[in-house]
Amino acid sequence: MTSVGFGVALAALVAGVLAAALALRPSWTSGSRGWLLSFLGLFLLPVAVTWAGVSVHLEEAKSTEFCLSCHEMQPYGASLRADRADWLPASHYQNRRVSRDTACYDCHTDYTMFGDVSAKLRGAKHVWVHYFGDIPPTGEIELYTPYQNRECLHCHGGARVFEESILHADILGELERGEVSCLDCHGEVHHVTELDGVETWEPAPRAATAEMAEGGES
Amino acid sequence: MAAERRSRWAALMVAVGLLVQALSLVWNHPTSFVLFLVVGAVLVLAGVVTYLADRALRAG
Repeated sequence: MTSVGFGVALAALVAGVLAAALALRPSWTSGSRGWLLSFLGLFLLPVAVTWAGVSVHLEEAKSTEFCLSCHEMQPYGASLRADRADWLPASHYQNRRVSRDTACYDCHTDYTMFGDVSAKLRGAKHVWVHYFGDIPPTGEIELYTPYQNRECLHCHGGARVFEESILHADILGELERGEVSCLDCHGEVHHVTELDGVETWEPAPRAATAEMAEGGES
Repeated sequence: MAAERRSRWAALMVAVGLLVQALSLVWNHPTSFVLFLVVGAVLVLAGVVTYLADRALRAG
């Protein structure tokens, strides 16, 4: 939980105590002072706290920890830490081409005006399927719609190493127009059925990394 | 008396809704997000609407 999340939770608790006091003493809502107290406790604070709470939840829903908290997604999370440099999720996660804190979101949101909203709606659909639907076996979970080049080009588009690569240079136009899919060449992405026996890579703890850096400098 | 009863219901719904919201905010999981929206936010909204209706009726 973030410190902002803790702060909003605390604010919700305090506002809840005020509302509970008004429930026990409804006479406090009468008179001019009562009007002010009830406006604060039954309108202003609850609305503000709910608004802040939605923002906190939306922000935390971007975290890798959040996505991998459902067991169906754990093999996909494991593919991020697979010691296989040739696997796309592993190479992106381990080389910090995506933020490790928001790895799933960085590749699976839509980079459009309302992309965040559609990503959240897809997330709500995941929750529905988790509780009430038939969850496909690992390896058979598919995206609701074909993966768009737009999501890859959001970061890779304009990058020199990408555009000057002999593999990409000749088909840049087709990639931008979506006539050729990135996945036509990059094929299977998460390799969730091939994880058995694959070693796991763990990032070095931050403190140890800092000490090594200090040692190297001295 | 009717006004006090409406105020009591409004305050009760807001209090329970905010408590659910507080609990959901300390748990980072998709279910907590759903709990926040479907239970917490709906209860707070119902409480706020009841409160505003109470105020309108008192003024009228």
